[in-house]
Amino acid sequence: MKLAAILVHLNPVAIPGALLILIGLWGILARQNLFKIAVAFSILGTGVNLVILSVGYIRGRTAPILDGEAAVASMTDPVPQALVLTAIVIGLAVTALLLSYAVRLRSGGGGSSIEVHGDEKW
Amino acid sequence: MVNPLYLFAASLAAAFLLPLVDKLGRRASLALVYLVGLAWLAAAVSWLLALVQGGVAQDFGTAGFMAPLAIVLRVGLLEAAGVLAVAAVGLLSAAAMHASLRQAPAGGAMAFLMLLMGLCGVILTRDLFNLFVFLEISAIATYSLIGFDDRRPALRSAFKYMLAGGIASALYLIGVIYVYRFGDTLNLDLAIRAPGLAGAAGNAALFFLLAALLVELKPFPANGWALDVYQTAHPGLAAMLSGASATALLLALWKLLPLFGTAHLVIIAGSGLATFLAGNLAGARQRYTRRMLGYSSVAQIGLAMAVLALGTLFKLGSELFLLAVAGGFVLNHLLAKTGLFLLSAAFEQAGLTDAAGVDGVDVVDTVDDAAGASAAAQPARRLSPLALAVAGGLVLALVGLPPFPGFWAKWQLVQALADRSRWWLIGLILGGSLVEAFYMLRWLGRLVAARGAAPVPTLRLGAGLLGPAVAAVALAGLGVLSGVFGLTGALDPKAGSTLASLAGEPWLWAPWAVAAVLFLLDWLPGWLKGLLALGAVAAFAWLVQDRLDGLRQIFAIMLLGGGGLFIVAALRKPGSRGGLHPLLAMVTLSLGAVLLAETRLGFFFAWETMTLSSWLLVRRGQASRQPALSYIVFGLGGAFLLMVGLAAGGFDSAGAWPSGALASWPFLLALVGILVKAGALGLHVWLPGAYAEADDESSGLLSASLSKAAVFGLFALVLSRGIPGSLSISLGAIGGPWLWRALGWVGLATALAGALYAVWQEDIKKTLAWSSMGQIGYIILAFALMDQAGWTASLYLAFNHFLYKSMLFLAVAGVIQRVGTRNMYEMGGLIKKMPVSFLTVLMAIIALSGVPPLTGFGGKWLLYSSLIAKGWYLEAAVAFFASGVAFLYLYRLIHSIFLGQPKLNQSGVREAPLALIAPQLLLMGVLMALSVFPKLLLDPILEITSRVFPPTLGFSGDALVSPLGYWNGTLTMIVTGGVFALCLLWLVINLRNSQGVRQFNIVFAGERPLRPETTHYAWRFFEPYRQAVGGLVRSRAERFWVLVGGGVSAVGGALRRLYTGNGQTYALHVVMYVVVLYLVMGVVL
Repeated sequence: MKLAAILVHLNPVAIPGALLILIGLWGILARQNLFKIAVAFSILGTGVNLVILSVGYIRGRTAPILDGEAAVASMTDPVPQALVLTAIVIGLAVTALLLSYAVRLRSGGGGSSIEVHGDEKW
Repeated sequence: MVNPLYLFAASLAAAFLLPLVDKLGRRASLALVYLVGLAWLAAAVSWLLALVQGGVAQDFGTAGFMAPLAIVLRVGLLEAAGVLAVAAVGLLSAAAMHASLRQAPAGGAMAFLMLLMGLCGVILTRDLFNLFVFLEISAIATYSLIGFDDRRPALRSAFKYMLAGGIASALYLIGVIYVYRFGDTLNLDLAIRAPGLAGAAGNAALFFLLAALLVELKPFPANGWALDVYQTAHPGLAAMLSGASATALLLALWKLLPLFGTAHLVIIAGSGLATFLAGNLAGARQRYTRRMLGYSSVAQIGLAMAVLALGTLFKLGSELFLLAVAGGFVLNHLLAKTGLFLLSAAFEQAGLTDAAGVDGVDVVDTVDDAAGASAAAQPARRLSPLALAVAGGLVLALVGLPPFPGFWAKWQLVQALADRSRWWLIGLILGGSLVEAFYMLRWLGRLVAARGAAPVPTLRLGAGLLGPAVAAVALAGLGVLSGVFGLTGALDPKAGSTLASLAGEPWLWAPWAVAAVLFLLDWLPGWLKGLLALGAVAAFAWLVQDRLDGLRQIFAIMLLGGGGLFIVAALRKPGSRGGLHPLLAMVTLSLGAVLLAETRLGFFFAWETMTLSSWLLVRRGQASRQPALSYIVFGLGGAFLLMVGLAAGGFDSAGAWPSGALASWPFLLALVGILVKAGALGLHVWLPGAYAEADDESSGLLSASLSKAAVFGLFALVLSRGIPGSLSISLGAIGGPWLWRALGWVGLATALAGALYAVWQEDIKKTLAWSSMGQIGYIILAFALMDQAGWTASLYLAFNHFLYKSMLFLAVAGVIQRVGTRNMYEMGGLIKKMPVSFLTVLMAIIALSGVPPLTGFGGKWLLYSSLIAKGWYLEAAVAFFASGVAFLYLYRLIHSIFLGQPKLNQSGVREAPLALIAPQLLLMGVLMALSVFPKLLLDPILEITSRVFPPTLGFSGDALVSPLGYWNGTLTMIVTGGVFALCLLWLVINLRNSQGVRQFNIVFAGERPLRPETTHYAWRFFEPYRQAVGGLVRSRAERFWVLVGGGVSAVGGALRRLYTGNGQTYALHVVMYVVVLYLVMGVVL
């Protein structure tokens, strides 16, 4: 009963977002393959984007499209959605760069594991 | 004011057009890049001009709206200065990367434009999400620039950087969206007033924002990726990152500070300080230049970060004050680090790939693992004087030495922290600074090539030197400005007066001015430079003579007069002797400046100038790398103690030590700081090496004159030399007698140990160095008596020491120049070849040992009688014993050098050059005059001491009368002269009975030795004594300091093991860092 009440009040967008963030972090910290790390970053980014969206999400309201005076009162917050767009673009650029560096590192003869690319230290 | 939006538009347009323009050739597209950089620069200058002329900060909205409906850009003083810095550094870096940008694909130039624009955006924007966008733009541009010229190691570092940067940007996004959620705005100015951010939820949201910014600022230990980037990226880009990027991020942090609560500020300060310490400790262990610079860079940014937060936490001063101090550090670091990275770029361009490049530079980067193997075949090269000067300026600025901005900022910071009794903070900051000074100056010292027999070709740096030179000149200019007008003077003339400056003390700049002019004239022949230096010293002395009261007059003769003598002595060798004369003049004038300083800041400024210039002089010596390093590290350590003592003194309005506080710890700190320079036992380990390895005339200056600056420091300290003028101390204010008794024993131990060490030396300069230390010990002992007789003895001994140690070093310089060795056992029988030098040494050791009739006897008589009168019988006995020990090494000076068998290979030796003989003759004359008429010297000294203490000594006729007896120098001289004349007469009369003996006409025990030249027994002369009492002087102090250094180094070594090189470990560091910060914030809240 109580558990159900809590579950109902949980933000249905934020929870998956947080889960994805944790999965992404785990991937970044635990997977050694450069390409899997890049994928983990994508997952992390998606999670963050979901969290952003969740802030603008208001239960029971509609999409933020201005088609009349009444719409303002019944729509969700449009700002986070605008922010997410920017974040997605930036995330894309970072992922692209990560992948291209991973390719160059591997083709340079180091292999795909991050462990072998650690010559600079101390 | 120009709307910054145009510049963003121009940057973006240029970046998009670049591939098109590139069709016209890379020259055109790069011109476009430079043009945009210049546009940013010009805009920043126009903003600054408008703001300085009374304009106010202006907000620029976007798309016709202002906040909260749209993003707002603000142009204020800080923003304009920041953009100026970023644009300037950007242009310099682009110039350094020019060759690479030309070869790489056009994407490099595009990324560079975006980096420039992103950093300017970070500085200008007032919107939190827009800040994220600009942070990401500059980060992505940096990622691509790291790899743009295809350095393989750089690719690895870029990937590590992206891991850390990606996590940071996720944190920032989470933070910014919850700030929006709880604060209902993204505009910074509105968020500061938003009530929703005050609660726990708001705090957590702000924490994520802060954590992301902090990670970008490269805190310990989450900064492994940054170090790798600094090491492997193009040095031009490293300059951009360390200079421009860090500055932009610090400005962003500064902008956000009003958002943060106490808990956040504690995190910033703690993290910054930890980074500062850890970065410097690990930096001391680095072998590669750029990695070392990277460590220093993260450390300095940590310090700036900490200062920003501490200023608000402890209310260190007005906002303007904070701006000035933090700004001083940031500007100092920005210019110095940019210059150093650009210099390393120039090294790389000149083909220097490894250790063996410049003679002695074994810390220049291995660019590529393959190149390292072939590097050993590279010929040794040395830096040109100009390159050396630029490198020197940059490193000295970084270390916070005068006259650069960091020096003034450090003084203000320490003063402000001391006013609020934050001692542990002062300790941490100065400790870290000392470690940084150690490794940066070690690096600088290595750039100085040893002057070997074979001429070494000069490294051609060409246009690559331009960038570093611009940075160095800017640093010097800003430093002088902040010195003259106070740090804030440039920002706000009215506020300038509230911060200490040297506005009233133009004389303190004389060493710098003269050194600068003489360095510019360094191409002139040596004799002309010598004359110019001499003229400068004479002019200085003449101009300031009416500012010197009695005490300072006596010291002026020792310091300025001594400097003049050794400048003359520097004429002994023909040729240009590059750098010697400017440095001699600089040291001499800095000694004068120490005398003239009228404020505590002035005194400290002059003191550091003296330390610095004498270090350069020591480093000029042949094998001085290691000794010079310990000289400067101990010198700076002592100077820091002095600074804290002066800052924390709690002086009254007249600038005197507060009554009763003389024995308190600020006074003790300052005292210890000065004892370091005096070479007191335990703090002396720098002394023998520095005195021995400097050029021969420089050693004399150090021992005879510079050590007297420390003696002057002792007097000045007690005479409340925060503000001099009056020569009075109230006896009630003097600390407990235990303090002076203890100081007396320190002096005594120094005297005894100095004499014992001197006895075992084979190196003649080491003998004199240890002897110098011992004699300063007597001066300290007499000083500690704290009565008229003691101070009279102390001043008299000091002047005597100046006389005879000058004579000894001058004579010995001539001997070394003629025989070509410093080992006494390789000399012998020089009495006939160098009679004047012999006479000088003879007179000097008579004066030193305290035998009648010369002045030394008076000194010893004064010392013993004042000790006995005070009731310090044991001290008197030990002092007497130490004098006896001194005879042993003095005897060797005559026996091993001038008497005995001439060495076969030294048959062609002539008398020393006139440049050495003339000062010796002058000093002998002065010594004789003062011996015959002691009143000449004692009258002024008694005049001074009787103003401070109730007089117990006085002249009755020619006799100096003390409660215990009297000494008549004139009579002593007449009697001794009479006895000498009688003996001489007897000799002359009996001369006709003498028989001429040729060399090797020797008979031992009725036999002629097979190899008569070996009968001059001088090697390990006092070996039996050594076996008997040598255990007393095992180098415990050296071992102690080696342990301290080893300990510090071990901590650094342990810390850097964190940086495993694995990108995932670094990512884990970032995550753990954030978690720990979050927990710490919970504790503080």
